Amino acid sequence: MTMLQINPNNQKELVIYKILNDILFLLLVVLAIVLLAEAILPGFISGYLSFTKIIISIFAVLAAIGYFGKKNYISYTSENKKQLYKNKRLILFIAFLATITFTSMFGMNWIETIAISFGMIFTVFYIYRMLFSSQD
Amino acid sequence: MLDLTPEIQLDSIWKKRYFFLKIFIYAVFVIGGLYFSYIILFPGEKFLFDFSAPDKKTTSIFYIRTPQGTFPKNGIITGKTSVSFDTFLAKDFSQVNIKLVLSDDSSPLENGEIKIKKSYKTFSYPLAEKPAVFKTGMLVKNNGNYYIVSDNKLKKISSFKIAGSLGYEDASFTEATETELNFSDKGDGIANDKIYPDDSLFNIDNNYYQLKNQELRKFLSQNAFLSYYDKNMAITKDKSFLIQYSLSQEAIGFADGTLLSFDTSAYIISQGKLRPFNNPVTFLSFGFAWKDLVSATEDEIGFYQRGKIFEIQDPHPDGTIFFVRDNGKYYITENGTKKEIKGENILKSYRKNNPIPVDDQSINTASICVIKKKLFGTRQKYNCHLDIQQLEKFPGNNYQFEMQADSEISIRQMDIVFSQKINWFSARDTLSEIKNKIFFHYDYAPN
Repeated sequence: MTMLQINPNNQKELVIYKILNDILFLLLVVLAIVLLAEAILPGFISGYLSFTKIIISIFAVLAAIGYFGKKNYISYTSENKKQLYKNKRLILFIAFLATITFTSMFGMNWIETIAISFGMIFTVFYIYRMLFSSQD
Repeated sequence: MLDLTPEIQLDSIWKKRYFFLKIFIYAVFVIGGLYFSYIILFPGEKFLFDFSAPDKKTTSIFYIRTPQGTFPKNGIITGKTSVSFDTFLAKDFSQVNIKLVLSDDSSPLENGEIKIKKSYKTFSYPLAEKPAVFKTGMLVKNNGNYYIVSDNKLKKISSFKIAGSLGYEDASFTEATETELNFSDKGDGIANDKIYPDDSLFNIDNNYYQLKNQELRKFLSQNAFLSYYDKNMAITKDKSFLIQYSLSQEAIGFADGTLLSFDTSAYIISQGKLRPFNNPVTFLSFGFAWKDLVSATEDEIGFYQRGKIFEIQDPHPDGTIFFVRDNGKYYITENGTKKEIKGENILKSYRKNNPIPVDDQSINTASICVIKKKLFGTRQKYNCHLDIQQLEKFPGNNYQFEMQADSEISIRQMDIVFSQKINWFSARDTLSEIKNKIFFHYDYAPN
């Protein structure tokens, strides 16, 4: 990530920005674990934990990151986006989605399961590519 | 340490602050994770009752009553008078915590204690004075004498010749002892081979009928008939017999307590209504066995108006048989009482489902805890914590509480929390339960 302009005097807000990124990361990890557990055994987690609350928290943190990022002129360059697109974590993300999709369709016809899973993975892949493509 | 925004560089003093803040945030998530794991591995169940809103839908403590059977209005309990209440659970727990919050104007609670028992609600019904008798419609014989139970009375058929003329075969009659016959009220003898007594059973063209008030009532199906009687108890007749008696509009469904399965659902017949189980855990919590499920047809299910869901706090239907493991006795439930079945042949006449195992000890063994005032807080809060491991061995889904105090009190709210002790065995049980749920979800049956 390249900082275009950062107000070095506003260290407090930069700390908040960094911490919010950590919180977002932790919330996403929680969401991934929870989604995976729920995909394996429906109702296992949702009986204890509210998905709505986690998702609302993620959006709230994202909004706060956006707010502090904008205030402190923090933005991504095209180069960074390209890196993100090539990121190996994308493969992990797709594998994760495939697992969830597959488990959620357990019991359905095999051909339907495979067709829907591939359809879903390609859709997500192209949405990802469209959002983070190097073309501005 | 993982830095997700390495491009943003901070001054050394802020770097330090960020470091500690980050440690704190990660610690919060780790502690949260550990707490969540604790909830998953050692799950508890909470039950509530709010006396200021007794009709609240979230109420989960049931049958709050004084010894006279009345509900203590506004939570007022007279000194030295007991109040009983129930909770229903499908799982066993090793400890329980009961919290009482008294009204602001209530006198303090003095010398209070709570007794806890575990059994089935229905098995705790009072014992009926008279033991169970042969089911109406039954054919019994003793010492060369033949009887039919008609209108709940034992009626002697004057001779086997009469019985034969009526169409009965010797094999249709169940052997009974003299003692078993003596439990039944006696009715007038049957000496006429032209008139069938009420409750006689007929098989006409593979349809089953019972005579009620001299009208023929058809059984819904053969399965429905078999939920009451054996095939050989019905006299075989041809269609011309239907002209002799008028046909009732009412059909006879399955016997109360019959367990039915249709598609992926399980149902129970209770007070003549078809009531679905909400999940397999509730089904098993009543002590029912899967092998007792009768596979029903669409027509049989369609015969009934669907009743509300059969929930864990519902009593077993009338006709449920309990087998007491510690004394070998059998009981049958009927109209809010339980009747002892004294006699093997009477038992046979009822035993269409497997009896539900119970322990006599369970209704006589209570765990007792002393109610103590909570140290902190301005409100009048009291607590009673108890180890209930000794109750685990008893079958049942009903925890029965009986509370008593020396002073008159007014309870505002009552909370009961069941939990597991933190140990490897509890964690292992939960993990095993999760494993079984996963197998069940993916239709996998481990060896």
